[in-house]
Amino acid sequence: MRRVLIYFSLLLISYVLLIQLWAPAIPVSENQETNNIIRAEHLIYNEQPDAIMVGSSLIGEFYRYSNAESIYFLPQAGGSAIEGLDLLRLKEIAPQVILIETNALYVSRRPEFASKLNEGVAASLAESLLAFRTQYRPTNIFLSIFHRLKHSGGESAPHKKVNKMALDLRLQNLGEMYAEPKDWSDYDESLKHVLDHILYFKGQGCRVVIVEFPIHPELIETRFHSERREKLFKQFEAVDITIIDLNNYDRAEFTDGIHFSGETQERLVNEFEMIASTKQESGI
Amino acid sequence: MLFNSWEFAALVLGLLALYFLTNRIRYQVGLLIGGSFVFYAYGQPYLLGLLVFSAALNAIISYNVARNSEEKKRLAWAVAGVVVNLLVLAFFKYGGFLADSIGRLMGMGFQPGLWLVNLPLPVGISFYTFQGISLVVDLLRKDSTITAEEAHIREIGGFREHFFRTVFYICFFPQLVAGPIVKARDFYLQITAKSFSKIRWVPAFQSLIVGYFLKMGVADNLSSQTYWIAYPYFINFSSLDLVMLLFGYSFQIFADFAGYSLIAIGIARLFGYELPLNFNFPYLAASFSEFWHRWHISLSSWLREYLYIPLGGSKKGHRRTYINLFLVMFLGGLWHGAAWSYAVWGTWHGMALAVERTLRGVNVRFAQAGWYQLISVLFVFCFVTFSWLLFQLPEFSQVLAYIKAIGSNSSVNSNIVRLLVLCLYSSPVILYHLHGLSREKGWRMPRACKDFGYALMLWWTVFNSGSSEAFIYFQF
Repeated sequence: MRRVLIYFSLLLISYVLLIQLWAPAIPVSENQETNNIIRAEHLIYNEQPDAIMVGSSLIGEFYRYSNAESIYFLPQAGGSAIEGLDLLRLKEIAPQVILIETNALYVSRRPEFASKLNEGVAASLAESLLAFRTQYRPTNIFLSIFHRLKHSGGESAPHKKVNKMALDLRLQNLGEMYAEPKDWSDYDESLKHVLDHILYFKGQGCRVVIVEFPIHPELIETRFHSERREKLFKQFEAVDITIIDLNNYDRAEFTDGIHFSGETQERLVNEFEMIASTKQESGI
Repeated sequence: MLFNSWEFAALVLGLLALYFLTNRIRYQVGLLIGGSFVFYAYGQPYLLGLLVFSAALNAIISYNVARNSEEKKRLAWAVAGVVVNLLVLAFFKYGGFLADSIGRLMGMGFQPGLWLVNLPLPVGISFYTFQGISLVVDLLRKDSTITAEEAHIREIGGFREHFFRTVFYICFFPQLVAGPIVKARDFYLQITAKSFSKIRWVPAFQSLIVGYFLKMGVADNLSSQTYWIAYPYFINFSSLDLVMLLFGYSFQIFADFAGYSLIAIGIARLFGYELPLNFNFPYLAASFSEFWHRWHISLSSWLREYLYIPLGGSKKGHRRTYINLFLVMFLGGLWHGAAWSYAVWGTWHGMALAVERTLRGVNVRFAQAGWYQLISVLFVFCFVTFSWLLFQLPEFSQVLAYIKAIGSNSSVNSNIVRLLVLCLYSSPVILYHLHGLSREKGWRMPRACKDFGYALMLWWTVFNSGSSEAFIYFQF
């Protein structure tokens, strides 16, 4: 056992030193969840931006298109904007502008996301040693090396293309799901949480913009989206904030009925950057 | 309380610190019983009552089985013990399922006992009730297999002593919630005073390193990928993605459960107890019967000993053998969960075992050839892997949709990163099995290599653990 401990100590020290000295760029991560944490850690441990957009997987790849870097995109794939807002509040990050994507607020809240990044041994180690950050997990290093070999001609943002067959399959399935009645109690709770966060950030002097992203034309009239949107707008009608409703945004192209193609993402990113950089409140 | 939580680490370290203060057996067993109650009650204290009730009931019944000299009374007590254990299991685990099934059968308007559906499923109930049955049946057996406990009870006659030991046997925390299922005769013999110098520390830590690596470094990472084997997410995935996800799930379920079992074995060793081996490189099996001798060994041997053999096993003719096989596998499937898909999963395996048995007489010329063995191993592995779909997807329609998608989504683009990640996290399980193969062939690995392997697993667990997930077998 003694030899095992010696080998382990050597491996541990070498890896910590290697990452501390090398700190390679990590253009890909192993899954959405890891990406959520990487984006959050990057926000916590680096210089804080003037504008932050919080949201779900809909904004998961927006950061790849953000050339001007005037907005920091904080996605929560599998979750919603609430986890992002929880984190900003917990870490006392108050940018000048906060944009909130509202499409996935019906997804159950995961309060442990923010607390995990703030407490415990792992969080303390990650604060001082790069090797303990999610970004530098050995798997991500391996994937990045592979990615670099594959794209040796230069970096480019992934252009998600539309696959007609996959889209049709998903649309049919979503149409059936969205036609069924839903229990909205979790959603009502989430909306209350968001409202509470909005009031807090407004109190901190932040400009808050709510963005309802485009919905596929075949799904917009479904029972699910009608009820969800109605509740959403009712909740925020009395609050003094900008609401941007992209319901009629006719240039959106979808890959799976919910998420956007690369071109649409790029276009949306440019427009949000304009909103964030203008002092006046505006819509698209 | 999860094995991969800080609370659990604190509990084990605390218990270890107190455990060797003295080598008085009462003190040591009492401490472990107390620790087991804390472990079980953590998070759902209201379920502790049922565990204590079950342990106490088994203590009373088994005492009477052993103490009575009249054969009829012994038998009556034993039957009562088996029935009570099965009733507890049926009520808490299958009550809702039966109520729901009867309701569906009788029509939508009639749903008797629907409140049963909302009963909480006590964690580990399938494991500790089976241990209770094992205790009662072992004590009933004749002199040739008489247990040390029976001799012990007859010798000293102390109920209090037996009660204490039985509660310990049922509640011992490393194996309490997900096995390995321990047989009474293997455990009672081990209940002795333990001293620090007699503990097998090295095998204990080796089990813990491999167990935590399989769970946190492999299974938890694979679960972030196989998460997508859920309706409706998978319907627009490519055929290759779907097949690879399924293989990934097969490796995940092994790593999760084998990891759990190894952690349980390692923790028990720290306190001086040996739990039975639960996995013996199952994906090396070249036949279905071999698979069940290698996968979840403690359950399959329990089913063989307490169900298949009492039913007549293979001694009562061909037809009866097949019926026994189907019945045991059907019930074994249902043991995993209160849903028809589990029963179908078990029956599906029962069918494979029956077909294999039928073909046993056929003389295959190449049976001993290396390539034939390899094809057999791959065939069994693929069959088992596709069967796991019934575990992951709760409805048959979804299982069919998944298979249909594999057939029809060949023109959909694959996700290269996903495929790479699946291969990366699956490779430790493949290497683990290759290591098993080399051991079976008698090839020896240099000690330095072995030690470096353990260090590497430890390093990977520290830097590349997945997000902490509950163990898959907790739900059973």
